[in-house]
Amino acid sequence: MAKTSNSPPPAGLRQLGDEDLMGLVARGDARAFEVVYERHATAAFSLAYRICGIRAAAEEVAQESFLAIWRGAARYDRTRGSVRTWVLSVVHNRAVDAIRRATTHERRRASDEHAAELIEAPERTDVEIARREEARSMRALVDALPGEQRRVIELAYFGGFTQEQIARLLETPLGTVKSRMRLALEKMRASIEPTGAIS
Amino acid sequence: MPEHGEYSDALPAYALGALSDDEVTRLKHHLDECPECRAGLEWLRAGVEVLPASVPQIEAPPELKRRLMAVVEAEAELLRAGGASADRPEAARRRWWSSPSAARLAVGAAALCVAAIAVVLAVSAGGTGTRTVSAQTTLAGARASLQVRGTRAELVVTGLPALAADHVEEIWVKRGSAPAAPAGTFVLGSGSVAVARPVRPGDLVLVTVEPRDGTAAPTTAPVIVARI
Repeated sequence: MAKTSNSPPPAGLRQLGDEDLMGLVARGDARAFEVVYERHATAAFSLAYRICGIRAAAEEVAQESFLAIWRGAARYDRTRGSVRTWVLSVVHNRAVDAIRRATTHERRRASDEHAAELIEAPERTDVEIARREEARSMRALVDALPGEQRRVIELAYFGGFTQEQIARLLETPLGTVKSRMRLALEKMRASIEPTGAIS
Repeated sequence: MPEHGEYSDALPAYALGALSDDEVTRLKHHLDECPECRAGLEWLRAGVEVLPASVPQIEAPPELKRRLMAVVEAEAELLRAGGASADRPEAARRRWWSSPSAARLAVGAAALCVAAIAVVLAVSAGGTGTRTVSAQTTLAGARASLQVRGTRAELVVTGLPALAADHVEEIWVKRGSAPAAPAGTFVLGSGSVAVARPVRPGDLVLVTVEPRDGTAAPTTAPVIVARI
Protein backbone atom coordinates (compact mmCIF):
# COMPACT_ATOMS: atom_id res chain seq x y z
CA MET A 1 0.00 0.00 0.00
CA ALA A 2 1.41 3.31 -0.97
CA LYS A 3 1.70 5.89 1.71
CA THR A 4 -0.51 8.89 1.33
CA SER A 5 0.60 12.49 1.16
CA ASN A 6 -0.33 12.79 4.83
CA SER A 7 2.90 11.04 5.74
CA PRO A 8 6.27 12.50 4.76
CA PRO A 9 8.45 10.65 2.25
CA PRO A 10 10.93 8.20 3.84
CA ALA A 11 14.15 9.77 5.05
CA GLY A 12 16.13 7.51 2.72
CA LEU A 13 14.55 9.15 -0.28
CA ARG A 14 15.48 12.59 0.95
CA GLN A 15 19.12 11.56 0.99
CA LEU A 16 19.11 10.67 -2.69
CA GLY A 17 20.30 13.07 -5.35
CA ASP A 18 17.84 14.51 -7.85
CA GLU A 19 19.08 12.31 -10.67
CA ASP A 20 18.59 9.12 -8.66
CA LEU A 21 15.14 10.28 -7.59
CA MET A 22 14.16 10.85 -11.21
CA GLY A 23 14.97 7.21 -11.95
CA LEU A 24 12.45 6.21 -9.28
CA VAL A 25 9.90 8.74 -10.52
CA ALA A 26 10.19 7.26 -14.00
CA ARG A 27 9.11 3.93 -12.48
CA GLY A 28 6.01 5.49 -10.90
CA ASP A 29 7.30 6.21 -7.38
CA ALA A 30 5.01 8.94 -6.07
CA ARG A 31 7.06 9.45 -2.90
CA ALA A 32 10.22 10.09 -4.89
CA PHE A 33 8.27 12.59 -6.97
CA GLU A 34 7.14 14.30 -3.79
CA VAL A 35 10.76 14.85 -2.76
CA VAL A 36 11.58 16.29 -6.18
CA TYR A 37 8.56 18.57 -5.89
CA GLU A 38 9.55 19.78 -2.43
CA ARG A 39 13.06 20.62 -3.61
CA HIS A 40 12.04 22.62 -6.64
CA ALA A 41 8.50 23.87 -5.99
CA THR A 42 9.56 27.29 -4.75
CA ALA A 43 11.85 27.96 -7.71
CA ALA A 44 9.24 26.64 -10.15
CA PHE A 45 6.37 28.63 -8.68
CA SER A 46 8.51 31.76 -8.43
CA LEU A 47 9.45 31.54 -12.10
CA ALA A 48 5.84 30.88 -13.14
CA TYR A 49 4.70 33.86 -11.11
CA ARG A 50 7.42 36.11 -12.49
CA ILE A 51 6.26 35.30 -16.02
CA CYS A 52 2.48 35.13 -15.52
CA GLY A 53 2.18 37.93 -12.96
CA ILE A 54 -1.01 36.38 -11.56
CA ARG A 55 -1.00 33.86 -8.74
CA ALA A 56 -3.83 31.71 -10.12
CA ALA A 57 -2.15 31.46 -13.51
CA ALA A 58 1.19 30.69 -11.88
CA GLU A 59 -0.40 27.90 -9.85
CA GLU A 60 -1.93 26.41 -12.96
CA VAL A 61 1.36 26.57 -14.82
CA ALA A 62 3.26 25.03 -11.91
CA GLN A 63 0.71 22.24 -11.56
CA GLU A 64 0.74 21.46 -15.28
CA SER A 65 4.52 21.52 -15.29
CA PHE A 66 4.97 19.13 -12.39
CA LEU A 67 2.37 16.76 -13.82
CA ALA A 68 4.29 16.81 -17.10
CA ILE A 69 7.47 16.04 -15.14
CA TRP A 70 5.75 13.17 -13.30
CA ARG A 71 4.36 11.70 -16.50
CA GLY A 72 7.46 12.36 -18.60
CA ALA A 73 10.17 11.53 -16.06
CA ALA A 74 11.60 8.85 -18.34
CA ARG A 75 12.52 11.59 -20.80
CA TYR A 76 14.84 13.28 -18.33
CA ASP A 77 18.41 13.00 -19.60
CA ARG A 78 21.03 13.77 -16.97
CA THR A 79 23.66 14.39 -19.63
CA ARG A 80 21.74 17.47 -20.76
CA GLY A 81 21.64 19.24 -17.43
CA SER A 82 20.49 19.13 -13.84
CA VAL A 83 17.00 18.22 -12.74
CA ARG A 84 16.55 21.79 -11.57
CA THR A 85 17.44 23.14 -15.00
CA TRP A 86 15.00 20.68 -16.59
CA VAL A 87 12.20 21.56 -14.17
CA LEU A 88 12.68 25.29 -14.76
CA SER A 89 12.82 24.74 -18.50
CA VAL A 90 9.46 22.92 -18.42
CA VAL A 91 7.97 25.70 -16.29
CA HIS A 92 9.36 28.38 -18.57
CA ASN A 93 7.95 26.77 -21.71
CA ARG A 94 4.51 26.35 -20.20
CA ALA A 95 4.42 29.79 -18.66
CA VAL A 96 5.41 31.37 -21.97
CA ASP A 97 2.73 29.35 -23.74
CA ALA A 98 0.22 30.66 -21.21
CA ILE A 99 1.31 34.26 -21.46
CA ARG A 100 1.40 34.17 -25.24
CA ARG A 101 -2.34 33.62 -25.05
CA ALA A 102 -2.66 36.88 -23.12
CA THR A 103 -2.82 40.33 -24.66
CA THR A 104 0.30 42.22 -25.56
CA HIS A 105 -0.53 44.83 -22.92
CA GLU A 106 -0.83 42.24 -20.16
CA ARG A 107 2.37 40.57 -21.22
CA ARG A 108 4.33 43.79 -21.40
CA ARG A 109 3.09 44.81 -17.99
CA ALA A 110 4.03 41.45 -16.50
CA SER A 111 7.49 41.61 -17.99
CA ASP A 112 7.99 45.19 -16.82
CA GLU A 113 6.98 44.67 -13.21
CA HIS A 114 8.51 42.54 -10.59
CA ALA A 115 5.96 40.55 -8.63
CA ALA A 116 3.74 43.08 -6.95
CA GLU A 117 2.33 40.94 -4.18
CA LEU A 118 5.36 39.03 -3.13
CA ILE A 119 4.99 36.53 -0.39
CA GLU A 120 8.58 35.48 -0.17
CA ALA A 121 9.44 32.00 0.96
CA PRO A 122 10.36 31.92 4.62
CA GLU A 123 14.00 31.15 5.21
CA ARG A 124 13.46 27.96 7.14
CA THR A 125 16.47 25.93 6.19
CA ASP A 126 20.05 26.48 5.21
CA VAL A 127 19.17 25.37 1.70
CA GLU A 128 16.39 27.94 1.43
CA ILE A 129 18.65 30.68 2.77
CA ALA A 130 21.24 29.70 0.20
CA ARG A 131 18.62 29.77 -2.55
CA ARG A 132 17.52 33.22 -1.48
CA GLU A 133 21.10 34.44 -1.50
CA GLU A 134 21.67 32.88 -4.88
CA ALA A 135 18.60 34.65 -6.25
CA ARG A 136 19.91 37.96 -4.94
CA SER A 137 23.34 37.48 -6.47
CA MET A 138 21.88 36.35 -9.80
CA ARG A 139 19.55 39.34 -9.79
CA ALA A 140 22.54 41.57 -9.22
CA LEU A 141 24.13 40.12 -12.35
CA VAL A 142 21.03 40.92 -14.36
CA ASP A 143 20.72 44.38 -12.85
CA ALA A 144 24.33 45.08 -13.75
CA LEU A 145 23.57 44.79 -17.45
CA PRO A 146 23.10 47.98 -19.46
CA GLY A 147 19.41 48.89 -19.43
CA GLU A 148 18.79 48.28 -23.12
CA GLN A 149 20.33 44.80 -22.91
CA ARG A 150 18.42 43.87 -19.77
CA ARG A 151 15.22 45.08 -21.39
CA VAL A 152 15.44 42.80 -24.42
CA ILE A 153 16.30 39.66 -22.50
CA GLU A 154 13.54 40.29 -19.94
CA LEU A 155 10.98 40.89 -22.69
CA ALA A 156 12.14 37.68 -24.34
CA TYR A 157 12.51 35.36 -21.37
CA PHE A 158 9.89 36.69 -18.95
CA GLY A 159 7.57 38.38 -21.44
CA GLY A 160 7.46 35.57 -23.99
CA PHE A 161 8.02 37.91 -26.93
CA THR A 162 9.84 36.87 -30.07
CA GLN A 163 12.82 38.91 -31.20
CA GLU A 164 10.76 40.43 -34.01
CA GLN A 165 7.99 41.45 -31.61
CA ILE A 166 10.59 43.02 -29.33
CA ALA A 167 12.02 44.99 -32.25
CA ARG A 168 8.56 46.35 -33.01
CA LEU A 169 7.73 47.07 -29.36
CA LEU A 170 10.94 48.98 -28.83
CA GLU A 171 10.94 50.45 -32.33
CA THR A 172 14.47 49.19 -32.70
CA PRO A 173 16.08 47.43 -35.68
CA LEU A 174 15.96 43.63 -35.43
CA GLY A 175 19.73 43.44 -35.79
CA THR A 176 20.14 45.67 -32.76
CA VAL A 177 17.82 43.47 -30.71
CA LYS A 178 19.82 40.39 -31.72
CA SER A 179 23.12 41.95 -30.78
CA ARG A 180 21.77 43.18 -27.42
CA MET A 181 20.56 39.66 -26.65
CA ARG A 182 23.93 38.17 -27.48
CA LEU A 183 25.87 40.75 -25.50
CA ALA A 184 23.62 40.28 -22.46
CA LEU A 185 23.93 36.50 -22.52
CA GLU A 186 27.67 36.65 -23.05
CA LYS A 187 28.07 38.98 -20.07
CA MET A 188 25.93 36.81 -17.82
CA ARG A 189 27.75 33.70 -18.99
CA ALA A 190 31.10 35.29 -18.32
CA SER A 191 29.93 36.44 -14.88
CA ILE A 192 29.36 32.91 -13.71
CA GLU A 193 32.72 31.61 -14.91
CA PRO A 194 34.71 29.57 -14.21
CA THR A 195 32.18 26.85 -13.46
CA GLY A 196 29.43 28.19 -15.67
CA ALA A 197 27.04 26.23 -13.51
CA ILE A 198 24.25 27.30 -11.25
CA SER A 199 23.41 24.61 -8.78
CA MET B 1 18.67 28.77 -47.55
CA PRO B 2 20.11 30.89 -44.71
CA GLU B 3 23.87 31.00 -44.25
CA HIS B 4 25.62 29.60 -41.19
CA GLY B 5 26.07 33.12 -39.85
CA GLU B 6 22.34 33.74 -39.84
CA TYR B 7 21.76 30.62 -37.80
CA SER B 8 24.52 31.60 -35.44
CA ASP B 9 22.93 35.04 -35.02
CA ALA B 10 19.68 33.37 -34.02
CA LEU B 11 21.20 31.32 -31.20
CA PRO B 12 20.70 33.90 -28.39
CA ALA B 13 17.03 34.30 -29.27
CA TYR B 14 16.65 30.53 -29.46
CA ALA B 15 18.27 30.09 -26.05
CA LEU B 16 15.86 32.70 -24.65
CA GLY B 17 12.82 31.13 -26.32
CA ALA B 18 12.33 34.18 -28.52
CA LEU B 19 12.09 32.64 -32.00
CA SER B 20 8.90 31.91 -33.90
CA ASP B 21 7.89 28.28 -34.37
CA ASP B 22 9.06 28.30 -37.98
CA GLU B 23 12.42 29.74 -37.03
CA VAL B 24 12.80 27.14 -34.30
CA THR B 25 12.12 24.33 -36.77
CA ARG B 26 14.71 25.60 -39.23
CA LEU B 27 17.32 26.21 -36.56
CA LYS B 28 16.85 22.74 -35.08
CA HIS B 29 17.59 21.20 -38.47
CA HIS B 30 20.76 23.26 -38.66
CA LEU B 31 21.79 22.33 -35.12
CA ASP B 32 21.55 18.66 -36.02
CA GLU B 33 24.26 19.21 -38.58
CA CYS B 34 26.43 21.92 -37.02
CA PRO B 35 28.58 21.07 -34.00
CA GLU B 36 29.89 24.63 -33.87
CA CYS B 37 26.40 26.05 -33.34
CA ARG B 38 25.55 23.31 -30.85
CA ALA B 39 28.61 24.25 -28.80
CA GLY B 40 27.73 27.93 -29.06
CA LEU B 41 24.21 27.24 -27.90
CA GLU B 42 25.36 25.26 -24.87
CA TRP B 43 27.68 28.11 -23.90
CA LEU B 44 24.86 30.69 -24.17
CA ARG B 45 22.41 28.49 -22.27
CA ALA B 46 24.54 28.71 -19.16
CA GLY B 47 24.00 32.46 -19.37
CA VAL B 48 20.26 32.02 -19.75
CA GLU B 49 20.19 29.98 -16.54
CA VAL B 50 20.97 33.16 -14.62
CA LEU B 51 17.47 34.44 -15.42
CA PRO B 52 15.26 31.87 -13.62
CA ALA B 53 17.79 31.83 -10.79
CA SER B 54 17.41 35.61 -10.41
CA VAL B 55 13.68 35.55 -9.69
CA PRO B 56 12.50 36.55 -6.19
CA GLN B 57 11.68 33.33 -4.35
CA ILE B 58 8.01 32.94 -3.49
CA GLU B 59 6.69 29.96 -1.57
CA ALA B 60 4.38 27.72 -3.54
CA PRO B 61 0.91 27.52 -1.98
CA PRO B 62 0.37 24.36 0.12
CA GLU B 63 -2.87 23.55 -1.73
CA LEU B 64 -0.86 23.23 -4.94
CA LYS B 65 1.03 20.30 -3.45
CA ARG B 66 -2.18 18.71 -2.16
CA ARG B 67 -3.86 18.92 -5.58
CA LEU B 68 -0.79 17.70 -7.38
CA MET B 69 -0.11 14.76 -5.07
CA ALA B 70 -3.75 13.65 -5.19
CA VAL B 71 -3.43 13.21 -8.95
CA VAL B 72 0.07 11.73 -8.77
CA GLU B 73 -0.85 9.18 -6.10
CA ALA B 74 -3.99 8.15 -7.95
CA GLU B 75 -2.00 7.64 -11.13
CA ALA B 76 0.67 5.71 -9.23
CA GLU B 77 -2.10 3.45 -7.92
CA LEU B 78 -3.38 3.01 -11.46
CA LEU B 79 0.09 1.98 -12.57
CA ARG B 80 0.28 -0.57 -9.78
CA ALA B 81 -3.29 -1.79 -10.37
CA GLY B 82 -2.48 -2.16 -14.06
CA GLY B 83 0.53 -4.34 -13.14
CA ALA B 84 2.78 -5.43 -15.94
CA SER B 85 0.42 -4.18 -18.64
CA ALA B 86 0.62 -0.68 -17.25
CA ASP B 87 4.33 -0.72 -17.92
CA ARG B 88 3.71 -1.60 -21.55
CA PRO B 89 1.03 0.82 -22.68
CA GLU B 90 1.76 0.31 -26.37
CA ALA B 91 1.10 -3.42 -26.21
CA ALA B 92 -1.92 -2.91 -24.02
CA ARG B 93 -3.34 -0.30 -26.33
CA ARG B 94 -3.13 -2.62 -29.31
CA ARG B 95 -5.02 -5.30 -27.43
CA TRP B 96 -7.76 -2.86 -26.49
CA TRP B 97 -8.09 -1.50 -29.99
CA SER B 98 -8.99 -4.99 -31.13
CA SER B 99 -11.82 -5.33 -28.63
CA PRO B 100 -15.47 -4.44 -29.34
CA SER B 101 -15.34 -1.62 -26.86
CA ALA B 102 -12.36 -0.04 -28.51
CA ALA B 103 -13.96 3.35 -28.85
CA ARG B 104 -14.34 3.67 -25.11
CA LEU B 105 -11.02 2.15 -24.29
CA ALA B 106 -8.94 4.17 -26.68
CA VAL B 107 -8.01 6.35 -23.79
CA GLY B 108 -7.45 3.41 -21.46
CA ALA B 109 -3.75 2.71 -21.32
CA ALA B 110 -2.91 6.23 -22.31
CA ALA B 111 -5.01 7.31 -19.36
CA LEU B 112 -2.02 6.59 -17.20
CA CYS B 113 -0.45 9.59 -18.85
CA VAL B 114 -3.46 11.61 -19.93
CA ALA B 115 -4.48 14.73 -18.07
CA ALA B 116 -6.91 13.67 -15.43
CA ILE B 117 -9.93 15.54 -14.29
CA ALA B 118 -8.99 17.29 -11.09
CA VAL B 119 -9.31 15.28 -7.97
CA VAL B 120 -11.01 16.95 -5.09
CA LEU B 121 -11.03 14.63 -2.17
CA ALA B 122 -13.56 14.46 0.56
CA VAL B 123 -15.88 17.35 0.00
CA SER B 124 -18.21 17.12 2.91
CA ALA B 125 -21.94 17.09 2.32
CA GLY B 126 -22.33 18.32 5.87
CA GLY B 127 -24.65 17.11 8.56
CA THR B 128 -25.86 13.88 6.96
CA GLY B 129 -22.74 11.80 7.58
CA THR B 130 -22.46 11.39 3.84
CA ARG B 131 -19.48 12.78 2.04
CA THR B 132 -18.76 13.20 -1.62
CA VAL B 133 -15.50 11.94 -3.05
CA SER B 134 -14.74 13.16 -6.54
CA ALA B 135 -13.26 10.69 -8.98
CA GLN B 136 -10.91 10.87 -11.92
CA THR B 137 -12.26 9.67 -15.20
CA THR B 138 -10.49 9.21 -18.48
CA LEU B 139 -13.74 9.38 -20.46
CA ALA B 140 -14.19 12.70 -22.22
CA GLY B 141 -17.28 14.55 -21.08
CA ALA B 142 -18.01 12.16 -18.22
CA ARG B 143 -18.03 12.95 -14.51
CA ALA B 144 -18.05 10.62 -11.56
CA SER B 145 -18.10 10.79 -7.80
CA LEU B 146 -18.80 8.59 -4.80
CA GLN B 147 -21.31 9.21 -2.05
CA VAL B 148 -19.79 7.57 1.01
CA ARG B 149 -21.65 6.90 4.23
CA GLY B 150 -19.84 4.72 6.73
CA THR B 151 -18.69 1.63 4.88
CA ARG B 152 -21.25 2.01 2.11
CA ALA B 153 -20.57 3.83 -1.12
CA GLU B 154 -22.63 4.76 -4.11
CA LEU B 155 -21.12 5.65 -7.46
CA VAL B 156 -22.72 8.61 -9.21
CA VAL B 157 -21.94 9.10 -12.89
CA THR B 158 -23.02 11.49 -15.62
CA GLY B 159 -22.27 11.49 -19.29
CA LEU B 160 -20.75 8.02 -19.65
CA PRO B 161 -20.56 7.13 -23.35
CA ALA B 162 -22.56 4.15 -24.62
CA LEU B 163 -20.99 0.74 -24.18
CA ALA B 164 -20.37 -1.69 -26.97
CA ALA B 165 -22.84 -4.62 -27.14
CA ASP B 166 -22.31 -7.37 -24.57
CA HIS B 167 -20.20 -5.20 -22.32
CA VAL B 168 -20.75 -3.70 -18.88
CA GLU B 169 -19.03 -1.39 -16.48
CA GLU B 170 -17.59 -3.31 -13.54
CA ILE B 171 -16.82 -1.76 -10.17
CA TRP B 172 -13.81 -2.88 -8.13
CA VAL B 173 -12.62 -2.15 -4.64
CA LYS B 174 -8.87 -2.31 -4.18
CA ARG B 175 -7.47 -2.33 -0.67
CA GLY B 176 -3.76 -1.97 -0.17
CA SER B 177 -1.73 -4.46 -2.14
CA ALA B 178 -4.59 -6.98 -2.34
CA PRO B 179 -6.04 -7.71 -5.78
CA ALA B 180 -9.00 -5.60 -6.83
CA ALA B 181 -12.25 -7.30 -5.70
CA PRO B 182 -15.38 -7.18 -7.89
CA ALA B 183 -18.15 -4.95 -6.51
CA GLY B 184 -20.96 -5.10 -9.07
CA THR B 185 -21.64 -4.34 -12.71
CA PHE B 186 -23.82 -1.75 -14.40
CA VAL B 187 -24.84 -0.26 -17.73
CA LEU B 188 -25.62 3.39 -17.22
CA GLY B 189 -25.15 6.71 -18.96
CA SER B 190 -26.10 8.86 -16.00
CA GLY B 191 -27.34 7.85 -12.55
CA SER B 192 -26.12 6.05 -9.47
CA VAL B 193 -25.26 2.50 -8.50
CA ALA B 194 -24.32 0.96 -5.16
CA VAL B 195 -20.79 -0.34 -4.63
CA ALA B 196 -21.51 -3.93 -3.60
CA ARG B 197 -18.64 -4.19 -1.12
CA PRO B 198 -17.90 -2.32 2.06
CA VAL B 199 -15.30 0.41 1.72
CA ARG B 200 -13.01 2.10 4.17
CA PRO B 201 -10.62 5.05 4.05
CA GLY B 202 -7.69 4.47 1.73
CA ASP B 203 -9.54 2.05 -0.55
CA LEU B 204 -9.50 2.65 -4.27
CA VAL B 205 -12.76 2.29 -6.15
CA LEU B 206 -12.15 1.55 -9.82
CA VAL B 207 -14.41 1.05 -12.82
CA THR B 208 -13.37 -0.95 -15.87
CA VAL B 209 -15.20 -2.10 -18.99
CA GLU B 210 -15.67 -5.88 -19.04
CA PRO B 211 -17.65 -8.55 -20.93
CA ARG B 212 -21.39 -8.80 -20.12
CA ASP B 213 -21.18 -11.16 -17.14
CA GLY B 214 -18.28 -9.37 -15.53
CA THR B 215 -14.93 -10.91 -14.71
CA ALA B 216 -13.10 -12.06 -11.60
CA ALA B 217 -10.24 -9.59 -12.14
CA PRO B 218 -9.94 -6.42 -14.23
CA THR B 219 -8.94 -7.09 -17.81
CA THR B 220 -8.77 -3.47 -18.93
CA ALA B 221 -7.37 -0.24 -17.54
CA PRO B 222 -9.67 1.69 -15.22
CA VAL B 223 -11.79 4.43 -16.74
CA ILE B 224 -12.86 5.78 -13.34
CA VAL B 225 -10.85 5.87 -10.15
CA ALA B 226 -11.53 7.35 -6.73
CA ARG B 227 -9.85 7.01 -3.39
CA ILE B 228 -12.06 6.78 -0.34
